Amino acid sequence: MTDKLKSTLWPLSIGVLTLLIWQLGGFHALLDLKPFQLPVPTGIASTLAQNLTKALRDCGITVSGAIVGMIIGSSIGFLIAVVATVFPKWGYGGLTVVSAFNAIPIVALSPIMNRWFSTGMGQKIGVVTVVTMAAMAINAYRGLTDLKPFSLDLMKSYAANRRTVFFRLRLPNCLPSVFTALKINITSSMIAAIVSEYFATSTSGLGFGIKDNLRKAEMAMGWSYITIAALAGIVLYLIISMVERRAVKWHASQRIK
Amino acid sequence: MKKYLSLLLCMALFLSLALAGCGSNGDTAASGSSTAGSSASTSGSSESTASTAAPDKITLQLKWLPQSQFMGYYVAQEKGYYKEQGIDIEILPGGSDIIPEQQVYNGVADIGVTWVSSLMKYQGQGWDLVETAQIFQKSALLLVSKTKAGIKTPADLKGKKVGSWFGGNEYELYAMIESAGLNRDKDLKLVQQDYTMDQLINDEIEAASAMTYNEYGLLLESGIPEAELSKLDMNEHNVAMLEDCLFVNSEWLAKNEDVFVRFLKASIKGWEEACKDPEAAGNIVFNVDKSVSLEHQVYMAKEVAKLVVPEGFDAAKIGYIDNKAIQQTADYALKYGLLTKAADISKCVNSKYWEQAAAK
Amino acid sequence: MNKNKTLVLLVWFAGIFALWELGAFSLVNIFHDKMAASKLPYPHEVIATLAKNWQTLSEAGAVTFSKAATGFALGASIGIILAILMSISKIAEQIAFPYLIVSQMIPVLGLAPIIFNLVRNMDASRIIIAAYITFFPVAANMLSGLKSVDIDKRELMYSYAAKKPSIYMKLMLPFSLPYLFSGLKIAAPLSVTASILVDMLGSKNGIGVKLLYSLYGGTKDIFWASVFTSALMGIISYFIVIIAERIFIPWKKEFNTKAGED
Repeated sequence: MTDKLKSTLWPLSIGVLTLLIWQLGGFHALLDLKPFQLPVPTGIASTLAQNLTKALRDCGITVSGAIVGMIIGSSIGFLIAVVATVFPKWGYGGLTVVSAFNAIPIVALSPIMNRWFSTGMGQKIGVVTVVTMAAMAINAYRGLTDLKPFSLDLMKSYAANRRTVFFRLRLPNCLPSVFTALKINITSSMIAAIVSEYFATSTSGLGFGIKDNLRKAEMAMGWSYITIAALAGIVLYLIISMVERRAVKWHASQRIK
Repeated sequence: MKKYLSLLLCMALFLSLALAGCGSNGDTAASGSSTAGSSASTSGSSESTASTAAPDKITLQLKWLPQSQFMGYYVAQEKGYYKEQGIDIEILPGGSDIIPEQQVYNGVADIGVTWVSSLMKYQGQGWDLVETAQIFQKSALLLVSKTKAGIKTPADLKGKKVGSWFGGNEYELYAMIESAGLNRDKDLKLVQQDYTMDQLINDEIEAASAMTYNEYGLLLESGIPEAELSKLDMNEHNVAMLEDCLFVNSEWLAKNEDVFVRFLKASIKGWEEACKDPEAAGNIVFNVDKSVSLEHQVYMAKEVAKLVVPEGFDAAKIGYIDNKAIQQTADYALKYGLLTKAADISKCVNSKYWEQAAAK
Repeated sequence: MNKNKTLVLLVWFAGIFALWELGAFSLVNIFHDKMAASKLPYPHEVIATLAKNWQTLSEAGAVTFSKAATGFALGASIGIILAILMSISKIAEQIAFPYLIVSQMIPVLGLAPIIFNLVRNMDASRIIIAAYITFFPVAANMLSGLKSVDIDKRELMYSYAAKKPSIYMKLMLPFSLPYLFSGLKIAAPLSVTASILVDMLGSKNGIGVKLLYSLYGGTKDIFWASVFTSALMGIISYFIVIIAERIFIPWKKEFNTKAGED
């Protein structure tokens, strides 16, 4: 319990300290900024409070697009990793191909997806799917192939066939890597969804709010959208790490105290 | 243990710094320019240099990509008009993540190009910026649709899906929509356009925002004949707001009055020349960056010339600030929700430097 | 062996080319899509444009790639240092990780003006922004690698009275290398993306500039050729990391060829 308390108290107190410095103008002095360039936390909070319902609705749209896209993208990525493991000679090329996708910037991807999907949501999911594939494929592949020494020999000595090796050894072994990929993907899917909304055929979503307001010098409003995005990102991350803690209790990364 | 760690940290830091160092050097060599930082520091010094001494470094931030929309500056640069005035100019391209008002306020750039309404918004929020010359005398914004959609008057927009770029570019549309007695939230659907015209071509939206000099030309170049397009012109419907203007940071201006007047002189000369021969101006811009076709740059140059020197406008007055038009821009900006309180025109605009520059 | 690999690679490229060609063909001729050129142009046309504009595109690509390399080096170093710090101290991890995620949620549009204001130099700002985009996957992967070291192994080392630095040098770092390289494999193409993105922050040259100008200037062919070039740069950066992996983790190579042949 005390550990748990500590683990929330530390980040929280640092956060409060940061906000305090920010509020009292520490960052503005340090970075030579004026409050109308970077609003102070109370300014952001009061603006956010006034526009909370709209901001939350926009957040819902962005988050749902990000999650759906991430699920599709991660599944495709995982499949690619499986194929690359089962058919190492021919399948490995798939990993190279997805990483090539990773080099296409969202700014170029968004207008292309606008052509493929006429709705903002479809475009968002399309962009997030492409962006999240590579991280999952590469991490899952490592998990599926980077086995403990001798474990493969042990399985062989039991005369286990490839199927058993895959389901009993490789699949459990890749779980931690899958979670690492999910943690990377949750942040990249949020930011991809946000940036795709800069160009989407709609006027909803966090990305539209951020772009529209920052360009129009509504800094407090723009930053309250950024705040919401950050909070959503943290919540999604916490959910994933909670699932992770349950799913891979046996793994070393969860046992170190 | 601590010693080890700090050693590791130092090494990593050193490595990254060294890498960053060579990286930026390499970049400078490759792009052959990039003096934003140094120009910001030199511009701080207030002495006015005669053209015989070392030239003054001036950085101009464009609102958008290098294209004939900004041909006057490129012509002045190409023909050496800035050099004649003892100015070493650097023209920074804009982009979707670049906000000229912020660049100028930050000191990354000395002078910026932006839309008047957008500038007023920043001024209203406390940014100490001032407009010093009005390059475009007319609004270039159109609402374009295919004739089959039957949009002939603003009232026909009822029930349609209409595109805008937002981010401050939507207020002329609001004015047009509401002047036709429509409610912009209920009577039609406003959606965001990406910066291509594909949504209109693909019939995803029924009417799209387009600038006379850019997007409208792209539509024609995409193979849609002019007869199949209908357009609503902001000027004709009396909802025009002013667009491209020059602005500076007041603090910077106070220290650099002389340099700025020289900059204006050279720029006006460049614009004059460009408007006289748009074809040549389009060629000059095309040589800056060849990603956009020459045909389109020339088309744009011709259209932009009509905005800078409209029919009946004296070409010697390029850059003139028409207070009546500025007031209309401010009024619409207030009425349709961009501004929360009325703008004080006398504080937003300062014609003094333009008058000095245009006097010759 | 090597010949075999080249063959596999060739078959892959040929396969993708054929599939793409088929897709473009069916868009035009089966679905009669008038936006076909925007959705999926013929690959042979893209390659033709690429060949025609090879000089400008490769020059732009070189500018972007060198910037990406700098951003990658900086971002990866920061990521590695952060991961080591977080694995040494649980408290550091608890404090830092949530804020690293928060940092990733700030879009460049919001961040860039602050960095410009601080640095007041466009080139330095661009490198900082590129590093900022790159560091997170490296940090996340490296950290999970460091955390995955078996506790038994660590205790064994402790029981030998090994000091923390030597535990890190002999056990933790080598063990986490595969994880690190997974992170680098994700980060390398990402640094190309980041570099393209900062090209768009008012650069005069680079693939990002080509991409943006051609997209908004209606030159679709150059746009697609630029997209193709950026994907190509992603593949190159990915292969560079793979080569580095072979050098730094020689034992993995042998492992790799064994995998799947069980």
